[in-house]
Amino acid sequence: MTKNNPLFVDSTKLPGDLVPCHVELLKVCLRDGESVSIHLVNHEGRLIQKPLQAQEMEEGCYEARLHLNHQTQVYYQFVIEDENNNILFKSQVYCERAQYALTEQWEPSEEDQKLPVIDSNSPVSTKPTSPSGWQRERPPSYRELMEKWGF
Amino acid sequence: MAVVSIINQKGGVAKTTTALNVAASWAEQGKKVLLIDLDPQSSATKAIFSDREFEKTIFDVVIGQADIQDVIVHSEEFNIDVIPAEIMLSGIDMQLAAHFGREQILRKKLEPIHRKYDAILIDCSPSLGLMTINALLASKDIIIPICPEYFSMKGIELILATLRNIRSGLGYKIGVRGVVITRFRDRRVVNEVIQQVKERYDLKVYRNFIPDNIAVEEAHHHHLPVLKHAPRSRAAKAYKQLSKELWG
Repeated sequence: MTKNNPLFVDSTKLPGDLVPCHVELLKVCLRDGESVSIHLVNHEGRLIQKPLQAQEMEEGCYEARLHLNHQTQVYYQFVIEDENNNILFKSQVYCERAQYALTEQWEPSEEDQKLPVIDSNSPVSTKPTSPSGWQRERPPSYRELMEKWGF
Repeated sequence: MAVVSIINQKGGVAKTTTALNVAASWAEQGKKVLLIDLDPQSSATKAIFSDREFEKTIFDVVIGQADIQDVIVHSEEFNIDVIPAEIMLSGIDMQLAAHFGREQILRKKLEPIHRKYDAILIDCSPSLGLMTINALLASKDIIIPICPEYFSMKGIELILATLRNIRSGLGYKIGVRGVVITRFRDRRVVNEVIQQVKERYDLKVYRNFIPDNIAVEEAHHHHLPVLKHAPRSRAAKAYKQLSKELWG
């Protein structure tokens, strides 16, 4: 997971707040009958699967919208299936902080067929992470909020 | 034309010169233009107003000590409205570190005056900080001036990475209007740079290049736009043509 520059962290959201996440996959070429979806495991270990739709304005670009918990660690993978839901290709597993956009480029190859498919049993961290290391297991107290916002 | 930031995270690429002269050219074409100086070095402010002191600047607006309408100053020589900067901007990151919505302050402050202008140009600091983020979130798109040399590619890479980070971290999509070639001398080098920019980044490069011309520096010393100080100079003609190309 990349380092987190606080300049690019939304100050109006607390870690764990639900935010809309725009998933974008670039440079993918699908044949007739094929579909691509995102398989994502969130900080609670829950598997979310969502199909991506072709973006009209940009060829080879597919997108979807998810709601994720801000700044929590997520693992995700892109999967191409045929019309019978047989998995044809799987991307590598990415690890990122949940924010407003997840954008990846993926050109499927034969090597990708050997990669495992991510699921809720995959070894992922069960605790959310935040830039300050503060882990949201309960609602924040007033003291914590005041310390966070510098009052 | 909406709010546009002139930005490059590499210094010395004529950001301020471009912002000043494009703004002045648009004004000469009848547009109502506001130039916001967001650089703590106040280069744009000094180029227009020399050593004039301002009681209130963009700093006061950002920290909530002044209304934006009260800090706008008109320049007769440039025929534009200006929001001046000051050195206090250098401490703004620390001052606003814990501020709720710190990255959207300028965007919100511009809302009351947005529609009064045909164009709002923001002259950004080369360093990446909270004010640069504010400028980007307030902008519909950006213009990237570059000098045709090796490090200019690094400047483009940095700003594109910043835009990606803003998209994913803050949820704002900011476009790149195009790249302006400044301080050019050698046509062959420029052609190589243009090719690289188009191939690597798929960005538009404006056809009107700004030559490395002494008239530009002289105009700064006289606190005039180059199209007034030396209207027949190559730089003045280039900025005039560039401003039309940018508007279109």
